[in-house]
Amino acid sequence: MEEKEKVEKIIEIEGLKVETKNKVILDGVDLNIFKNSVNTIVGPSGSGKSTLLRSLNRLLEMDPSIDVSGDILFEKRNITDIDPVELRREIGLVFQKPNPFPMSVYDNVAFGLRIQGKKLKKEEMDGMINQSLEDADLFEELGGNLKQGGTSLSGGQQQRLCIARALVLRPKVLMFDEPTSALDPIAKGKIVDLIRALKQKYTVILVTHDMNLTRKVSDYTNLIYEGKFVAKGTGSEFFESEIEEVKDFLSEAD
Amino acid sequence: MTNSYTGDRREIKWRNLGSRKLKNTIANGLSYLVLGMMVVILVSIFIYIMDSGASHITLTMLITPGNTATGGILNAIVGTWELVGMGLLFSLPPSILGALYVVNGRSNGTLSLIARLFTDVLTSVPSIVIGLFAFIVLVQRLDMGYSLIAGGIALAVMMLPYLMRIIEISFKNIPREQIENAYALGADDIRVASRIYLPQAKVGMFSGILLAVSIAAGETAQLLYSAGWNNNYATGFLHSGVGYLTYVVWNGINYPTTYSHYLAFVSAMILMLSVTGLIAISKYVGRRQ
Repeated sequence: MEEKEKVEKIIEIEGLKVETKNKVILDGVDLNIFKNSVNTIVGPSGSGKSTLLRSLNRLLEMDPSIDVSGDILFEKRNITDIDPVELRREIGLVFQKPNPFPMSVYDNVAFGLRIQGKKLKKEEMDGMINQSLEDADLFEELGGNLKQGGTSLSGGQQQRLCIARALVLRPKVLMFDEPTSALDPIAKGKIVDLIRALKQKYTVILVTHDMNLTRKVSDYTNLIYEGKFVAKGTGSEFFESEIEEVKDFLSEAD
Repeated sequence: MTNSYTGDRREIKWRNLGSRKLKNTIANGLSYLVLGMMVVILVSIFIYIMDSGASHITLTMLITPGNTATGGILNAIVGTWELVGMGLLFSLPPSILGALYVVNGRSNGTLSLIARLFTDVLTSVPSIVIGLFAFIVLVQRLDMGYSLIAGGIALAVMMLPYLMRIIEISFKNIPREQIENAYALGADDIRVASRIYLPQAKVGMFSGILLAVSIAAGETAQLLYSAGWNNNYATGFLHSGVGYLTYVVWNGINYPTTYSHYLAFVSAMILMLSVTGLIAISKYVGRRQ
């Protein structure tokens, strides 16, 4: 626990409650996200993991049937005081299913830059796009051919393209919503290596129910169950936990 | 080792097989009969109109304006497309905005429901009622006179529900994850609309536009009350009646001269060819999507 106190918190969630008319999805959640670490949220399907991610970048607000209350502080600022468009550039999200836009690799990565409306010089734009593709470990694999269609890539490449698309905006936090669940073992291995590398520059929040992935990459692991966190700990602490729900979850997940 | 599967199969009894086959044959027969009747009716109309039109068409008819009894129908051809263009101008922007509103899921359910109900009701309002409304409100109350604007608005009221529904379907075909992805990358509503919805739905929208145009081109009732008629070309957007092909068909056939009947048939042929062509293109484009 001492280690935790030394590491800077980048996001602090206090009493976050998310509900619809008929159901409480997150029931007063408290959680800290630590800088330049892989913060993993595990839990069974329907426990509220993805909802939590979508509340961090205010994507949840787009659904009028959902009520959100509680506080989320990003770098000590309440996220409701930050423009959602700005917030989403700071906190990137990579979805479960790779979903490139039906345009070239280059245009896919450039999408986020272009919608900002900033006038970037061609060389500057090219540099940022190449760097993001390199950071996502995709540039070399494509042999520099960025004109090919994003949807023509393999599943694993598409997922890394989506990561590059998020990285180009230089976010401070990168959230992954079950990024390996739709991938084959080789593609999955590449994403594992990538997540390890990314935490040097970015804060990573990883939602998954893949415990192998969690063991390999997680610095802080948090178990959510029926909308509440029931266990939190560093990687090794978590796996040795005597908490009943953790033991149950681990035995079922393995 | 016994093969239970083979054993089971031997025991299957095809009960009532004879009566099921008979019912199937009757149902198929009725379907083909109805289909055959439809094809015969449609093809007869098509052949009759084409034959009557093609045998009386002259170059003069196509290049001069006229009054449905003398002269040509160029004013009606030009007027038809002017009215349809005007109708599109008035109906396309609200259709796109309405479809975005309904699809984007940001509205609470009630408003979307009202929007959908409104468009459904509009689809079934008789065109003569729309015409009457246009006459009282646009032509008289707002003092537009018989005009392109009044006719365009009357057509737009009819085109809007078709357009909105087809555009809505095109928008719904875009994977939801792509929309979420765009928002997650920091796009605002306007950019999501202009960079995701519109480019990706353009083929579907185009086919919807062609379909709405083909329906509008064949309308008469609401134009009688809103666009009036003009023996020549419309001279402005307001207070100047407009000629259109369906009027030539309607009026020409009632006029007691052979030439006016020829004009009616030629107009009907042009309408029929245009509408068939537009629907064929819209189907082709829709399939390619």
